[in-house]
Amino acid sequence: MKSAILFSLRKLFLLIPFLIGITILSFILGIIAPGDPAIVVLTMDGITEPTTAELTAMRHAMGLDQPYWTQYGKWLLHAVSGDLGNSYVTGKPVLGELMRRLPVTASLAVCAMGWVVVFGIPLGIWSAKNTNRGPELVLRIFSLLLISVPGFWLAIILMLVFTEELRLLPSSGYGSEVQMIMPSFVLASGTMASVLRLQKTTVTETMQKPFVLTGQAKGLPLNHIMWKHVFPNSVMPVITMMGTFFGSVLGGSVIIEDLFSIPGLGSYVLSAIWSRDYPVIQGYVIVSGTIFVVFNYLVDLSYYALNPSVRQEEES
Amino acid sequence: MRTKLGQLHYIYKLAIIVVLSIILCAVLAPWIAPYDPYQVSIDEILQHCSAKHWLGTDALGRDLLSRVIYGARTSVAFAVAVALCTMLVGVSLGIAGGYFGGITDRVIQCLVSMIQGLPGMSMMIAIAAVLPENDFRLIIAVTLTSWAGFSRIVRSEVIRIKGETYVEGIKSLGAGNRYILKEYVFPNILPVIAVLLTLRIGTSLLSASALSYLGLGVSPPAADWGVMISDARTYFRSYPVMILAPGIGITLFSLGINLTGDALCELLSIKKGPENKEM
Amino acid sequence: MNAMQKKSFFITLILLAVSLTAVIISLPGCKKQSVSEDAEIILAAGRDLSPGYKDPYFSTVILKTWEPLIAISDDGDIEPKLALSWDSNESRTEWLFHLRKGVTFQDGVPFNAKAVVENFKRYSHMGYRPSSFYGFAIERVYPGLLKAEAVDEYVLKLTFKRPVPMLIYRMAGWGSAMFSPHCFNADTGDFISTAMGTGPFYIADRKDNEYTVLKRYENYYGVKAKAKSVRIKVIPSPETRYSAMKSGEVHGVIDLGGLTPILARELVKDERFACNAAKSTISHYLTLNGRRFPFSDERMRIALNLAIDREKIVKHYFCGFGTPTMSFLNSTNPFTKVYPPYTDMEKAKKLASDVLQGRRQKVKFLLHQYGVSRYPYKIISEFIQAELRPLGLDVEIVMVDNQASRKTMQRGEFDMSIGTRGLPNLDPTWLLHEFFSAEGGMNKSSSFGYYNPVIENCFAQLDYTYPIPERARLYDTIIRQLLIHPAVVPLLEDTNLAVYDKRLGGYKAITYGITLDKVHWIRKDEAGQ
Repeated sequence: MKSAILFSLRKLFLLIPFLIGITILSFILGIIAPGDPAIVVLTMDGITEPTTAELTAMRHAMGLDQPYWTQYGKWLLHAVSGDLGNSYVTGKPVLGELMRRLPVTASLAVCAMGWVVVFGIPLGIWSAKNTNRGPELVLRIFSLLLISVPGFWLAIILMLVFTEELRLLPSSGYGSEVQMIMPSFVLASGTMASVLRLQKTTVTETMQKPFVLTGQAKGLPLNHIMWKHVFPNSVMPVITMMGTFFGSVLGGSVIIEDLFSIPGLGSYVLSAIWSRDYPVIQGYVIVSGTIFVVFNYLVDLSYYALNPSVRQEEES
Repeated sequence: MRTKLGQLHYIYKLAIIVVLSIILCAVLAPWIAPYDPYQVSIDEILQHCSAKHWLGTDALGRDLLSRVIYGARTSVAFAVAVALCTMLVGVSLGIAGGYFGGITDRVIQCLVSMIQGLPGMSMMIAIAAVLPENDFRLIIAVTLTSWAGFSRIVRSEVIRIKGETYVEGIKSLGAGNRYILKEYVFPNILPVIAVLLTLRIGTSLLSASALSYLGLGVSPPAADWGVMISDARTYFRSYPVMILAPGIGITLFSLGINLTGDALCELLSIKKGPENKEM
Repeated sequence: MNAMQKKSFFITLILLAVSLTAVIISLPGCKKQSVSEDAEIILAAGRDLSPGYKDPYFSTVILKTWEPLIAISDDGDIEPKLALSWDSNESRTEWLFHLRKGVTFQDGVPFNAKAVVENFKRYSHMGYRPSSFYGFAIERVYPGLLKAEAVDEYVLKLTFKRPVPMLIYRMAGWGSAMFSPHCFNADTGDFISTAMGTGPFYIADRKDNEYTVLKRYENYYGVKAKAKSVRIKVIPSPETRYSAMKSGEVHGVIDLGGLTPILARELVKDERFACNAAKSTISHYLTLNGRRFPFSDERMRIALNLAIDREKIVKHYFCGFGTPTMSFLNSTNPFTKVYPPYTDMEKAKKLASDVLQGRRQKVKFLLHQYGVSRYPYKIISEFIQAELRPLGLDVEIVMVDNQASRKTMQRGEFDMSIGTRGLPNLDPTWLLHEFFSAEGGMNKSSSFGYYNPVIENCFAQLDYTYPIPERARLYDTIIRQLLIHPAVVPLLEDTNLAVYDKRLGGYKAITYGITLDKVHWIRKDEAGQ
């Protein structure tokens, strides 16, 4: 038990330089960017041309006339106390907006995960047992196809078929389950196929392990071996992969959210990128980076809890 | 057990042929393309498939088939360039970290986990948007965000090889680092690099076309599959070929690359890790 | 198949079936509902049309939630709204406005001169307020305002330092929006609750960047809105707006660039939809860098004006929805005349070769994200690229985001660019001055490098010319000077397209927005006629 606490504390400690790195990185991003945020604010309508006096006043109001280190220090202090600044464009607090949008993206990620769990894992097991048969070959090609197709293109084609032609699914928006079907499928497509392939490989490998043979020799029913021994042993790498996937959806569904008009983190940051809304971009990088780190941390911990070999490695 | 080229499944053979022929198309574009892909002819805009224009024309009257062929050139060239850059960065940092260990390794590992912890696609877009507008920004943006996975695998391979008894033996005989790296480590990780590079070309193509699609890729009028899809969005309902042709191009090439990667694994008898797709 | 394989196969099948049924069960959500008269009308817009508390107007004028003292009529002229009449002293420094009686704000507060004075207090305290519609600064609309006072319950008096002859034209539209004094803080300019105006609709609910729900204001003083409830959904991508129309999720699109002409044409191929158009206040034009070769040479600018075939641009990329123009000022403005464009390729080539002396010249065409996402600018730039090749110009198109493009233009590191121009009110003075006066902000920041003594003289005269007809002549002189000595290349005047579900009636495009207060579901008996 003591070692478990030590393990989790040490892992936690390792996160600190990482988080500082992320903040510096996201701050640098704002600095090397061309364009002046003060001009962004003053010319939102695309019509007015600010005078030099207006510009200087706005730059001062936004704190842009201070040296970079001061800007970074101030920003970091605020960030630690939970204030990520206000959006240049809307003037609203960034953290509030990110937190408001986080559940949207999270539910999208959950739906995508649903596809992966419902199709990826069972089909992977099925493939392992039917390897090299006709249907399995078709499935293999199909899953590779899902990995190979560009997501944005798949989204457009699906929208054409299911929304415009068949009028079965809504094109966009957020709020009901049906609206999630298409975007989550597109998001999940690649990972679904990857998980399928991975599950297949791990099951095949585990079935060749000696304990399976021993079990068979003992006369245990194959089903029993399958569910009690093979499955738990083969599913570990898959869970890791899905953990990573969940984190990456939280921070990577940019184009899909934009295409399907989902008011999540991705569409927020994309519009922020176009309008050079640095506080939003920086806040987003920090929040999604932190989420990803926390997820990996949890995956590590569960690994530790579930997998004896990791424990031994750590203890030795 | 190694598989010989001739023993490969016919699907793998087919895939290799597809990949090679797309690359051939890209290289020979000026000789195969029936028309100049940049030739605007306002009297021939938005034509359907015909004997004259096999795939029809776009909104500026440019021949679509020629643009798809030239698009292969841009897209594949970018994918390969990005994959090579990623490999260069990933392999050198992977070897450096894995072989020398210590503080170098710590720093590199911290960088790796940072890159992998950041939201890949949005970082890619942000970097591309921040860089000055030229054709290299795409390469830089994708490379910066995707070398980490590469280096992580190379590192663990290097550590494995370094731990082998024969390497330790040679070291005790007084062999220099350079010698060991050149004679033992590098040749041994070469197959892994080959597979990773091949697969990376596929993912690079997807990432690069996503950026092009967002308007962060090549400048007009250059033909590029991602750009062509983006351009076709207004028209594709009446002219489906406009969006299908480049999309199928990307899918076919990336599918072919993935299968080729699998085939390489069999040929070089390597266990392959899971692939991941950038959204 | 052995037993175990069978079992897991069945499990897979069951899982498949379960997820499929889940999909099917949740489907009725998007089935077609029968339309009752009071059913909510759902429209799509590309951006949040009610950005809220920090915005100077809370919501765009096209939602008809607030009204100005003086409005822009559907055909683009001034229209008395909350101010019924006005007059001024001889020197145009004191203005009296007679306000409409019997008007109440949507929160029940009566509209009178006191409420207007509160609004002016807000104007003067909020400084420059950026907006995604039109930024507001009191100095731009009411230059040199000394005092706004209520001389009677329904009479407002404005006193200025200097004469403001064009005041009425400046106030029209965005310049004189009126809100209930209870919903804003006059000292900061921020709204403290949902803005309450006097318009036929009020904002019943809204969520940032997601939707705005409008409800009919039953105590409206004029003709009440026909629809009981309208929901405006934010759908940023034009293609997705198209898909949403097609699937019946939304019944129409509003706001600028709502549906590109090409998508609109595609949509009306489906007989469920219809489309009408009205002239828009938006113009498209090419900016030229007059500070560096080749466009520093006036002959090259003239050549460009003669070479570009605007008819073809309108025909192919705006599907005919647009008016080719050579005049800088949009024809919806009361002070402009239409100067139809003409092309003369031979003359253009001659002028260009005089300038270039037979050499070929590289020019950098800046294309910014802002425009590309709303208008077919990318394809137009490629078209122009091809059109200019015979002139000896090799156009290199560079795509940048809006901000980078501003900076590049300011530094003069470009040769040409494409832009959009609208007018927040009806006074052309400010716009013309910004662009073509040697002192103009736009002239400087976009590197026009334009100086025209005749135009400078006109601006000098405008400072002390008060009668409107005389001013109109001066504006016309400026416009004609620009035809002879061009600074920019006007391309076309945009068209406002209203694309809608045919079950809706009263859906008409106007110069800015649609006739939202007249939109309604068509009753069955009405549909038969």
